Amino acid sequence: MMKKTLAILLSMCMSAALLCGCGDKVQEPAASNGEEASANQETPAEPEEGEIETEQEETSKGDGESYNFTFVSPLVSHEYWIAVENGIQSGADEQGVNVNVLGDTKVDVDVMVKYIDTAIAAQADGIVTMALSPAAIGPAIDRATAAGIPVVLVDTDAPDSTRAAYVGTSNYDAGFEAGTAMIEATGGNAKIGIIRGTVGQETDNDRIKGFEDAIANEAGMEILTVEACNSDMLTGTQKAQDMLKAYPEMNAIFGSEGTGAVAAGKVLEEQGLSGAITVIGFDDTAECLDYIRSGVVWGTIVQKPDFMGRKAIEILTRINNGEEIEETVIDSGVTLVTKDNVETYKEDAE
Amino acid sequence: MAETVLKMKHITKAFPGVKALNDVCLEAYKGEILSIVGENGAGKSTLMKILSGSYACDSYQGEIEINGKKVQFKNTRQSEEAGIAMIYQELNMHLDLNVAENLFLGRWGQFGKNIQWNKLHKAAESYLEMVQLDVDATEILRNLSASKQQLISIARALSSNPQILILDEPTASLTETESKRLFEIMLQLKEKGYTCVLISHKLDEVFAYSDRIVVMRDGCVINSHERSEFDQGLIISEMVGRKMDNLYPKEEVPIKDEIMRIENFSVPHPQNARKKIVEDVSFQVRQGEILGIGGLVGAGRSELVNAIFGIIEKQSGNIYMQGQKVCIRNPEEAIRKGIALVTEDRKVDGFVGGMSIEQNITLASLKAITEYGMIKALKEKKAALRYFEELKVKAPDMDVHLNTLSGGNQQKVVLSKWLMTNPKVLILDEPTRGIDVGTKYEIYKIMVDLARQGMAIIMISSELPELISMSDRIVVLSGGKVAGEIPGKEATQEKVMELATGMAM
Amino acid sequence: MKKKLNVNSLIKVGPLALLCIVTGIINPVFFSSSNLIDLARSISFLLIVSVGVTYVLLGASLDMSIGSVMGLGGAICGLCLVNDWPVWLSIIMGLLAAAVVGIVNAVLIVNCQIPALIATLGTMYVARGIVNVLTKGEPYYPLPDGFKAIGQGTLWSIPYSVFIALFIVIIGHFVIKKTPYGRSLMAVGGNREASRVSGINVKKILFSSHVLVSLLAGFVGIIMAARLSSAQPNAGEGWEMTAVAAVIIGGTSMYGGYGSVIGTILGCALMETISNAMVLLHVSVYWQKITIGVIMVAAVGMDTFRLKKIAAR
Repeated sequence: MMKKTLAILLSMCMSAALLCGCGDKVQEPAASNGEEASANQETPAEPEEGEIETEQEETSKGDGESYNFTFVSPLVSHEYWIAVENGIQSGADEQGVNVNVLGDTKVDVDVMVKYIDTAIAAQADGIVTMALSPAAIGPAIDRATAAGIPVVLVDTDAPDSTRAAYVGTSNYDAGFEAGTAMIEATGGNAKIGIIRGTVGQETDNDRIKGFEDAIANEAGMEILTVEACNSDMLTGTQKAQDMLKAYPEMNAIFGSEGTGAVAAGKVLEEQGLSGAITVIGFDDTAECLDYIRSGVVWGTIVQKPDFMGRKAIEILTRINNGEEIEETVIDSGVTLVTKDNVETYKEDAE
Repeated sequence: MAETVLKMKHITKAFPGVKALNDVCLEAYKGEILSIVGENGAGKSTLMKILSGSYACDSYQGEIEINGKKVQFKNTRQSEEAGIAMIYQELNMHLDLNVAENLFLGRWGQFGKNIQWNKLHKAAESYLEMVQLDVDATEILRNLSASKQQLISIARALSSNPQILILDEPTASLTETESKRLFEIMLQLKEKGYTCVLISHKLDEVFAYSDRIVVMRDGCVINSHERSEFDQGLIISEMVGRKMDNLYPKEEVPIKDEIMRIENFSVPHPQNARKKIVEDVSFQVRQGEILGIGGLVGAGRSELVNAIFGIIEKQSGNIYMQGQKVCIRNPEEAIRKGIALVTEDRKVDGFVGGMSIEQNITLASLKAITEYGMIKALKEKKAALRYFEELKVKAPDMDVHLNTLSGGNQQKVVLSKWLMTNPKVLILDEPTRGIDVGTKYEIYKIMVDLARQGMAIIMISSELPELISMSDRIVVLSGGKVAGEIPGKEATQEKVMELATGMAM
Repeated sequence: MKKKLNVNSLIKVGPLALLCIVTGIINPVFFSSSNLIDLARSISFLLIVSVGVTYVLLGASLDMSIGSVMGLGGAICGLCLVNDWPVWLSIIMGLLAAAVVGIVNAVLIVNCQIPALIATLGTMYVARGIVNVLTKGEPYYPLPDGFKAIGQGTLWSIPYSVFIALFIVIIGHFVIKKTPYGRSLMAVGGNREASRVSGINVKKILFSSHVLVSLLAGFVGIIMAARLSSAQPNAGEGWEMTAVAAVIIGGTSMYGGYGSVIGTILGCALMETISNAMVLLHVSVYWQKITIGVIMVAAVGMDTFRLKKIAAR
């Protein structure tokens, strides 16, 4: 009897918590402990898949109708995708349209497909999303297009689907750029260790391929090893430590995803080796930028998530206005961030 | 003279450090019920394992002949093909398959590559008839009672068309009525020409139904007796190796004041909260007294003592220790009040198999061996050793795991654990179940000694001779209520059964 | 019985010793003091939380949420630090958050009788979710120097975390072997019902083991954040699998009632040494997972085999 009452009570609290979760992203740190403690007591009874965040943004429009677009994000809590979302918001402001954001706090392709179908059912005027798995997302995209809803992809493409356009970085190109940068940074002479994210991840694979091709013609450049850190910072530092010992001739490190370069940087700093090893990484986390400023990391490849978001909204608006889109694949490009432009690269990219 | 179907010649099997079988010779005839009796460790199971092929022919010396032809079994399948079917003590069937599927487990191939289920069910029915079991062949095994499952395992044995059936403690978990039914079926099988080899501790059944009894002790065959010359005393003394004048060493012991009183005890039914499995039971027990509790399975005996001890919740009732009302909500409180309980099924909740004898003995008395928050090894050893020696636990030392001991020795360890708590009232729920004659006797002696020292003992027993011989007084439960009380001297099996079944004669 | 113990220990130490020797021969850098120190440090992180996992497994229970609790402990501590709370208070807050999760686990498992696997999977998601909501995917960074010292400081060139781990191991082992609590825990894991009948407070024992493992996990998360000078939102992810694997490889039975903290040391040492050795031996990253998987199956296989031998007697 007690179990039943408890279960019902907990479900009610959970539902309440879910509703409260809507639209309230900002939390005061001082209050957070109390909140978090009560959230703990309220929500633990059932395994949660994650919170669903929904936001409605309305901007004053000029004349005519205001379109309603939906952005299905693969990971709402990640720095990178928050940047994309910010780009989408600015784009919405510029274009005078409304955007609804759907997404989970963990990466799950089935959940994404569900959200896309939700947008279709709600008859959105357009959908922005990314092809987490082209095989799984593709059919959902086709369903949307068949229902008359144009779909624009960002960051990762599904070229065989009926998507209207793609705005993103070619991971291969990004890796190639990193390779070129490595040649420049080391003067064409480097024994390189690579720290990647998770073994098997497509993005890493493409970037490493691009990197390899970029340095292929340089006789003095050699890749010694590839280690995986599973996007865990501690594992990254352990691998970096081990690599330094296992390959005493190594004088350069390439981190093919956000964690690698920062982890290597920590180890180098600790062991007083900054400068002796050239480090190039990916993404512009605060720690990475600080390391660039202090010289521990030479440079990092930054994608333009903000641009991706804005461009996607622009394209959707133009499609809804009846325009023909000639360029369906838009390379948002990457920026190499080094000491020279670390303070200015963001504005330059606008 | 009946024809010989089985001959085991000069079987010797050794394990590291011990000879389990020493030059054993055994014969079995067509259409007889042959019982093999002996204490734990006498070699009965080992012999049967050899016969059933569990021990391959190269792991022992000696020969086996079936119908005069020498046979060698490398595995159990070969022994089955030779006409030997083994029915184990622990059921090894699939509870989630139905009766017919279980019957032919492993041999479904005979019904075609795409199994013809109708044929399977029909064939199953014929064997079910042989054991007089009226169940649907498509019934799931889990839904059937233990005794029905037992009969099905016999039907399964029969379906391989054996000559010889080996039954290892078949009635261990059956009630009296169910056991009777089983033996009636065995008698019918005997008529049809099957040979049944029976291993059992239940001597009354053995004496009632066997044609011949073979006694084993310490790996040797001591003697074989024909039905016409069954002598209980002789056979028991052969089993234990010494003369046993008296199976039940009950002695008169001074009985003093009341030490525990139970009043208006009621316990809700575990499956149906609206029913009561114990209803308004009251009794008392005195220092030095052995109080027997009789009744049929389901009468609420175990539930009564479990509730007194705090293992399950009571609905209502009071417990008085030396006149003072006490509140017992869990076993820890019961132990503190001076009550100890040896539960019905030691494997389930009697001991921790993976722990040593020493650790099991001290498990309920950790406070006594703890000083400044640490367990004192010397104290523990001393305490455990005392009971280890007093109760004569048979084991190389106190560090062996309880899993390795025989049932009787395990029970002694459990008893030691409770004695170490210095109880005023010791409750024993089926204390000698599944234990050999010799160890039974030792446990009875221990009970009498404890009673002489002033302990009050409550004993639940389904073995009527034991109940009647050892109790100073018997309280009989029937349907959850107290049906009546019988003073020890006037107790007879009939009187107890009358009260237990609620049928006055 | 004493003899059996020695053989068992030999079996466990053997593979580790062999691995060390072979690796050292092929690449002597393995035995260099800097490598051994790094190895000791990485073992210490895993070991601290694995002692807690050992307690839980000994009681025949399970906890899948420790990875998330690591992240939570580090995140709450980091959150306080970036808001200029004093170091000692921030650490306490991190531990408190971890303890809350431990209490929730304990209540669900012991009082509500929800199977441990389900309950802790649930708290695993919730705790990680809370970390994500608080951090919004960004690490708390930078963290004050006074705090960093905990994870990066050394005494005689040996990292603090090693001493901490040693301390926890010694106490953990002592409690199990020598105290009534430890004995009761082993009994509960070996046969819960028999322990209850023998007067042991099963609920209290299981409850405390769950709170303990969460506290230790939170503690590791805090030291991790100190080591990395930042509280990462996905810190500890996947560590529950590694910790359980290390404990089981070290000889503690999944079924409860059998095992030791000493074994856990060996298990952790083996896991981390493999990772270190693979890099030093220039073995491809793809083979590392295969190796660990094979060893885990072998370890559990030995555990099951041992139980079968006992049952067959």
